[in-house]
Formats: sequence, structure tokens, C-alpha cells
Amino acid sequence: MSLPAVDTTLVAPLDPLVLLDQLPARARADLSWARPAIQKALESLHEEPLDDERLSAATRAFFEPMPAIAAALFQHLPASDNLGLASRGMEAFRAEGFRNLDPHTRDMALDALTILSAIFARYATEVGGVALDVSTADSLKDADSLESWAASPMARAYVCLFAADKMPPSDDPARQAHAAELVGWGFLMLSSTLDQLARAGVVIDPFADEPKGDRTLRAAEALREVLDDEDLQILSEGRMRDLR
Amino acid sequence: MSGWLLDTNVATLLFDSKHSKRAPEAVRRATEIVEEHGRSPISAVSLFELKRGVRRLLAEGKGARKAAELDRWLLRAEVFGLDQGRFAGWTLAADLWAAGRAHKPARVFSDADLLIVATAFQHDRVLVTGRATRDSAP
Repeated sequence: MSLPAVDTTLVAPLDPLVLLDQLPARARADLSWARPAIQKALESLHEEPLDDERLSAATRAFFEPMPAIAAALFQHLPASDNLGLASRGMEAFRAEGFRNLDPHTRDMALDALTILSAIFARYATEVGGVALDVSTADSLKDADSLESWAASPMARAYVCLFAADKMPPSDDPARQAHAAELVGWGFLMLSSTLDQLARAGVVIDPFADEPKGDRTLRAAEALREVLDDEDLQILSEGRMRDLR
Repeated sequence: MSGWLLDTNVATLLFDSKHSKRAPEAVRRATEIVEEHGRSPISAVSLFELKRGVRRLLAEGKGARKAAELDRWLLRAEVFGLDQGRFAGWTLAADLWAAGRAHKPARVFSDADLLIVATAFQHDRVLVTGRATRDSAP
């Protein structure tokens, strides 16, 4: 079964701002415009309303600098290290990311990262390092390709998760709720990506290697904490009776 | 029997704070099964019902967080269906339906209950329902 055409470089959940930091000073200077453009895109999601139009614009703006960043990155890093770079980046993000969020939201964000990593690992296994070159990110120079990628649930999930990661820590319940919504949307869009892949014959179980039982029970506990009586009534109405 | 299958009304007790208080024994058993099995073993019918819940929560403006938490729990469920082996489980469900109708007096089940029972039969699992824990063997 072949994998659907998804840009492997972009599948790796890497923080572009961290990638910029890894470039030599000269390359960083050449790309000085990229950092504020990315930050502005992410900050736009820190405000209400969190609607489709805002997310769409932020996703396009977030990915627009990627071809230039990828070109610089591949110019200064050995191509053979592409997969290593992705793995290290993901591990670093898992260890350090989302510390600005409340513990429950961070837990969900880390689950989202597990899904992203599982998708990336599947692609890396199937296509190997050969596809991880500048040409893949280069495709986003084309406006139609950028538009198409920015409309995908995976691209939007990235942007929601990175936007949550960049929110200033806050004790304000409204800000915490906003961050939780960003992470929630990111998670749902990754779940939707898993469904898309499954429909194409690529079934990925992101939590297959988890310790037995405890994470399932923790997920149930987290759910118990957020659902009120009205939500439970809505779920009850989703129950099936007869098919006709 | 090769394991358990949680009916929707038992699986949801794990996160339904309102109804779980009324059925502490069912919650305890469901928790044990998840601990033992590693995941929540549910039927595709339960998945369908709860995915409808995810969509409804979003449509009702309850927020992405709640819908995502439910989806997160569902991604950790082990889902059993009726489609394997040339859809033999569906034939089994039809047999159960016919047997119920032929019974005197007739035993009529909702389609949801019938399909969940057939799933338990098909996968040689004990069905755990909210009303009782009963062996699904014919």
C-alpha cells in the first residue's frame, strides 16, 4: 500500500523558530524577516475569535517562510542528518514544549505530539531519508501548493499546537481556556488526519506502545473533569436506537 | 471466551460522573477490564455512537477541548467490528434477530443492542452491559 502524497519534511513536527536558531549567523541574518512573520502568524491565534478564517490565514502565513528556511537548513546541515535532526527536534519539543500550559492541557498537547510523531515515523520508515530534501519544502513556493497544504488538517494542527506553545503563561482562566481550545483543535485535526490516512489504507495506531491501561484511565479521568450534565445529555442523544 | 466487550453504557461510565455514582460496581468492573486489557474494548457501534457525540459537542458550540478529550479516549479504545471474514458478523446478527423473532414470546432488541451482542459473539467475548454482566455465548 502506498502512502498518500504528504510532504515528509513538513510532517516532522519541528519548531521553525528553533530551526532558525540552528542556522549560522549569516544565514540567520538573511532570514531575519522569517521570525517576525512566523511569530505574527502564531500570535494572531492568541486572540478571539478562533474561527476558520483566522486559522486559515495564520496557517498560510506560518508556512510561507518554510521554503526559505528549509533551503538554508539543508544548505548548512548534512543531508544524511535530516532524519536525525527531525528526531532530535521532536524529542526536544516533547521535553521542553508546552510548559506554559496547565498540566491537563499540556498532557493533551503531548498526546497530539505523539500522534504527529507516529505519522512522521511511519513516513520516515516508508520513504526513508531520500525524500527529506529541499525539493519537498520547495513545493510551497507555489501559491496553489501552499494554499492546498494550508487547508489540510495536518498543517492546521501544527499551527494550533505551535500557537499554544507560544502563548505566554497565564493564571487567567480565560487565557488558559483559549490555550486549551487551541490544543483541542490541534488534537482533533490530527485525529482527522489519522482518519484520512486510514481511508487511504494507512492505519496508524499512535498509542500502541503505551503502558497498559493507565493512560486509557487517565484519558477517561480528564474527560470526566470537563464534561458537565449538558454535555452528557448531548452524548446520550448520540446513542443509536434502530437503524430505520 | 477470549476477553471482554464493554457495552456503550458501561464504557461511558468511565467518564460519566453523573451516572457512575449510581453504578459503582459496573465502574469498578470496567476499570479492572481496562487495566487488564490495556484499552477499552468496545464495538464499532459504540465508536459510532461516541463519534456522533464528538461531532455534536462541536456543533453545539461546547468547544474543541471537550470534543478532543472524548476523541482522545476513543483513540485508546480497541474497537471490534462485524466486517471480518466476508462480513460474517452481520450474518450472525441477522441470525440473532431471526431467532429473537421466532422465540415465543418474540424477543425484540434495538438494532444497536443486537449489533453489539453480535459483535461479542463474533469475537468470542463476554459482553458487559449496564444491566448485568452476561456471557455472550449462545
